[in-house]
Amino acid sequence: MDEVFAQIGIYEAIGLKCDISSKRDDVMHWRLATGVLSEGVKGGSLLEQYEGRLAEGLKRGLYGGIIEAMTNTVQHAYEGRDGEALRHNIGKRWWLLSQERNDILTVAICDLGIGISESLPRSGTFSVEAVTDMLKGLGIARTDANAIRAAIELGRTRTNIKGRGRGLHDIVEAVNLSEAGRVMIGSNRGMFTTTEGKSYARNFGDSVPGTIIWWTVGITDDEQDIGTNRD
Amino acid sequence: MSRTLEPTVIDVAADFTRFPGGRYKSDGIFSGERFREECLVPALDRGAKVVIKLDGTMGYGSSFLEEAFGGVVRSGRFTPQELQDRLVLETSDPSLYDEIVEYLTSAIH
Repeated sequence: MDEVFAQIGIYEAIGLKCDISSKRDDVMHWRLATGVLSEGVKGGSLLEQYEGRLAEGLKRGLYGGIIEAMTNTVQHAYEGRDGEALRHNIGKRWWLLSQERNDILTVAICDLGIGISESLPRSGTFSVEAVTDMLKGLGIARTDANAIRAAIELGRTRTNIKGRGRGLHDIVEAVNLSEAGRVMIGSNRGMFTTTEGKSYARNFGDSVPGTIIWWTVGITDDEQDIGTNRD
Repeated sequence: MSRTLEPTVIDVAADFTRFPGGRYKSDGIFSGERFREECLVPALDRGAKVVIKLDGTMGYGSSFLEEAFGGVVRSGRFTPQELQDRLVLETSDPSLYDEIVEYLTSAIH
């Protein structure tokens, strides 16, 4: 655990001096950025490291997904009195983690907010009725996992409501340009995963808590191979 | 003899940022609202066509695009027809072009 905290800068962030440097393969590749605004430069500079190794369309999709996740955090994740209590005096904070390992790029962004099932009906983006109707239309009960599904589906179909609410849909679409792309959204007790055109949703007994979005895409050392990513 | 005004060119990456993101100025410093207020509307106010070069950034989030382009329609300062006639979107990404047109169209209704 010391190695993980040292690698992603937790000890440095809290002012502890730590000389540990990890040599573990599942630790040493992780990088961390954090912020309280939609800061494209933090997501963009992460992706710039893979210039020439990520298909252009995939890079743009991932950037769009990251920046929308930041914006969702800033606008919705810490709303309400319960949301304010979760800010813990560190603002509407997100954490962005990335790792390149075995030709797979993993990017994760998370917050410690109220979760999608709470933020969706109170965001003002979609009415409670629209959310309820969407859940009924999908034939599913109101669980955390199904709230994620509803948010994605509403974003896909209801973009005409001042154009808002499309962010989560963009987040899912980000990996569609990668042959083996995968996105997982965990929010409170719910989890939604989509890969290769198939989606899965399930609920767990324990809460995350907050929201975590996790993308994995293939990268290559051979620029000629970029064409195999569907750009 | 009337003279045709030269188009105003906005190269988003060079003139604004390579890292656009966020809807409102309160979301972040390179938001769609700021782009609309500081780049798009002043360019439209000059009266000529406005060419917007979209390539060169790391990408765009839908919140940024909707607030920048849908927001200019909602502002009511320019008619939809005027925007259609004067905005020229240049991008190598057809889906980005379609998305912006969708925001311009949706904001009219």
